[in-house]
Amino acid sequence: MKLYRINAVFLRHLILVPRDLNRFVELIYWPFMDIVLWGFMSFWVQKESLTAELPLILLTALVLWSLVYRANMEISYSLLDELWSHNMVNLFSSPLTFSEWVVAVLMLGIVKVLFVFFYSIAAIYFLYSLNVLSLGLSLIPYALLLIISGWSIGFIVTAVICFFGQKLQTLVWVTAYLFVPFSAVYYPVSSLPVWAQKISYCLPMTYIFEGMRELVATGIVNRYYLLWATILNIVFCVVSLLFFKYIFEKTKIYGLARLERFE
Amino acid sequence: MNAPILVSIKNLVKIFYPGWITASRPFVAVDGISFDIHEGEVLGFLGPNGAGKTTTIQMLLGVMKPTSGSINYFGKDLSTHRSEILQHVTFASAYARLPSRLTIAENLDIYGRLYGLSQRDRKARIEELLTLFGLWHKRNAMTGPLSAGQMTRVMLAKAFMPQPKVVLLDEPTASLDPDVAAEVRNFIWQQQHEHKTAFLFTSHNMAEVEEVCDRVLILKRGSIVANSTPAEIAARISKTRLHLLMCEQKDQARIYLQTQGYIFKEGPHNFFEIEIDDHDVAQLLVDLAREGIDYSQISIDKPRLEDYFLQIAKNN
Repeated sequence: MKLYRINAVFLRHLILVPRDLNRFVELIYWPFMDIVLWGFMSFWVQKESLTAELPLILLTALVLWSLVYRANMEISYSLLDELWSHNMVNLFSSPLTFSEWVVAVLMLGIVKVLFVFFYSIAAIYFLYSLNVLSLGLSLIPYALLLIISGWSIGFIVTAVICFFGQKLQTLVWVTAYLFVPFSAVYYPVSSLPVWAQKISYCLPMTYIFEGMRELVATGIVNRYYLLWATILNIVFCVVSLLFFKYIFEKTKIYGLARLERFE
Repeated sequence: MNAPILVSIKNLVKIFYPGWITASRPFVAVDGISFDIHEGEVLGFLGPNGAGKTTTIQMLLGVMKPTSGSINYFGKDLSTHRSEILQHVTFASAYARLPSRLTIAENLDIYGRLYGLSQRDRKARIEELLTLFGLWHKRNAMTGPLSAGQMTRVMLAKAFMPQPKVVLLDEPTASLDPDVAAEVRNFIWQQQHEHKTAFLFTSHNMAEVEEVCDRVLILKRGSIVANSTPAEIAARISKTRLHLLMCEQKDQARIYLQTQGYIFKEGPHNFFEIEIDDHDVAQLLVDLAREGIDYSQISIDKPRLEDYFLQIAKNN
């Protein structure tokens, strides 16, 4: 065993840490986000006298959050898959339009999101004998709004990757998670510090998860929350889609072929 | 050429300005080029590395925006009729790839769908093209593990899935065995003559370009430096070289060539190399016979496109 060879391999990987966003994210982002998320959650659990509904609240939140995450992922991942396959130029030198591509990936997203949604509900039922569907049809508007929230995040992330290329591909996995602490997914907005609450109330997901907790606790759909979630969703989704379209056209200045290279 | 113009490029410019993506200085990749491609024409598009060929092709495919200038297909502007135009324009490159976890047939089927082919047409076209390119037995193989030559043939099949009017081919025979490359050239010839398909053809194989292309554009640092037939371009820098092995009248031959003003070199064993215009060869041979100057061997080296290309590359 030679120390200089060990050193060579050690250095070969160490040099890449500050240069490679993927490695940087693993060291900084994920540990920090876990601390933030589970920290807020711990304080909420400690402070509140916990109800019998807590497992249902948490697991419903988990299922609903998976809608945001999956809806976001499907858009960005579809683009990345074309880049990894070196298929971007093939695809966009055919008659296919930007709008057609977007609709296709949204349709794919809906199919996969619905699969994950019902699969998760079934898993929760069989593992924990908790029925998320007991919330009834009221769950449908919440689910639809969360899918749209996921699309908004997906459009932004995909636009950024479209402009900067594959070197920022890790954003596909990390961006949605950035919204978890502020969207009150696993704990109410009131558990957050005041500055974080201000951010929280700007996000459509917050109103949905607050509404979901109220639905589980009281069985009542809060229309105020639904209204705000709808308004914010429309604004975010339209703006993010326009941003994506703008960036897609902008990236043609440098050429779509550039995106197929990892540089 | 009297055939209708299918592609018309006017003053096409591409400048990469400094930004987040590019280098610190503006770079002129394509510098105001103009050319047409006629129906049924194979236009060679040549130039050293970095001359602007790939950038031009990307602009012609609509996947890169020109800085200025216009690209018209079938009399319509690509920037405003993109989808309609690309229904009839396809491309294949030796360096392009397709999704690796789809089979060859699945990939071609997807592209058939993108061009709006019916299920029956897709099936028939896939069988026809894969048989032609010798890949029918591989139709259910994933594209990922294919060799470069097989992948190139799949890309060619993809390009011909719809019956295109214009095909942009970026080094289509680069990784093919000579026999397959010859089949591809035959296929291009067939498409050109039977369907009047127009081709823009890039290759580093000058012999192939001379064989396949009706006309050649040579690009150097983003500008067109030659636009003519391969033979005419080659003749610009070198004349035909006529090699004669004289019988006995070596001195007589030398005097005759000198007096007639020919440029020639003498080699060992009565060997003469004469630089001459292609169309003067026959007359010189008649004149030598009239002068009673006999030769025992003759060979004619015509000017080659490669000579011109090498000179361009050397000066690039």
